[in-house]
Amino acid sequence: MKDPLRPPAGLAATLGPLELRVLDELWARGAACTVRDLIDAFTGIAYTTLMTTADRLFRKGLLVRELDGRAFRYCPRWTREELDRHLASSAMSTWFSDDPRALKPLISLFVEEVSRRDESMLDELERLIRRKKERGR
Amino acid sequence: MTLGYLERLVIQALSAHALASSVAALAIGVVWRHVAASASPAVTARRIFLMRLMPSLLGGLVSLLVAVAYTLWETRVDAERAGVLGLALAAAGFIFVGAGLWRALIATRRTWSVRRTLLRSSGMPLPAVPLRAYVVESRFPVVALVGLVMARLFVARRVIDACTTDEFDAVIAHEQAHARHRDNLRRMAMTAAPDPLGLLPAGRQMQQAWLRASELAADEWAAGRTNGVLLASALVKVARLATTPPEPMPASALYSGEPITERVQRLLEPVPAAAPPPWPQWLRATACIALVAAALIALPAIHVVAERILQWGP
Repeated sequence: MKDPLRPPAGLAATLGPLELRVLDELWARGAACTVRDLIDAFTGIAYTTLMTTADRLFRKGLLVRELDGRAFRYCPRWTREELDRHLASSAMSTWFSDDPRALKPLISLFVEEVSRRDESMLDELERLIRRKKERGR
Repeated sequence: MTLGYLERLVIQALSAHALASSVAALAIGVVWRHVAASASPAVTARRIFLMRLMPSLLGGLVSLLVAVAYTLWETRVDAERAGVLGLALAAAGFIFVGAGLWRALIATRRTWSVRRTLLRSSGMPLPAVPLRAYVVESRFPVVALVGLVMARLFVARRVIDACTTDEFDAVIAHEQAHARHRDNLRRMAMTAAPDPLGLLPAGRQMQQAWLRASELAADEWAAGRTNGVLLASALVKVARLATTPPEPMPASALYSGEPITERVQRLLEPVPAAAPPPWPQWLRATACIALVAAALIALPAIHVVAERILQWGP
């Protein structure tokens, strides 16, 4: 059964509906577009609204743009998969902030991240566990 | 400055809260390490939790008594002078309460962000687990209990694949211990506590010490119901998965690893610790009745002191 608390999948949880539609349209076209190129796909949306939305996505760092004559051509900075991954990792990075003043999310983690230099410590612990298991047999 | 009847009530309640919680925070900031020390992590966690909440509880209780005394004995004059001490204490009380609410808000927002991320990447529910649990497609070996009351458990598929069935049962028992003790809710209570400790390093140190003790207590609880050696084995396996992130994680995410060593060593060589006997029920009931009686007897004096504090100074 679908979880009623489950938010809309992917980017929909992070972006506004129109922002998401603009990104989707640009991903579908696979090429840089001006707002005038896009307007046909957005019936009922004013040209200026679409221009503001594209500008907002640019300011959020989700679109890149270059001047073409008197208009900007926009294209997505990342693929959909890259952007999903980026959002997930930036959310995860807040879990592990070691700033003692930072307020952390109220979750219980079984293990937090261990640095690479702890590999030898883990080897040693594994040896101890093996010995204990052997003694227990 | 002259204040009306209701304004004086608010100022008196806030200043009583500030004064009582500050005195309690000062005392607890000095003694908490000595009082918390116990061979049993569960007892240590409980003591730290109670001490961390003590200033707020005491502040709330005293301000309630002040408010009751005020409504009983204060004459309904429209304007009365308030001195600088009362106003300064009320401002401090307001800051303590506001900061507590702010911390609760930020922590809730961050928790929801994590929850949203996990729900987004979660798939099928995990059957035969005594918690609402979901499998998560995550490269980090997440085993996270999220939620204050109806907590959900999220487990990365990598963890399920890496552990044997018995090891996984031990991991689930560890998380079940956190759920049973409502550790996330306790954390929220400590985070939101409206007192000076929330603004001082001592408060953060207490919360860190509680986190460590509650992890050890959950390990101990799980080891008692499953197998401590298997839990230790799972802990090392999951930690090993966490050492090799496929993409660079922020440097701040790394920590020295001492807590894992301590947890594994305690699981392999458990320290027998008898919990101190709880107070008998009659003694608890007598103490409560005595406290209520003392508070009622002291009400008139409380009102006099609160009035003096309110009017002290220019």
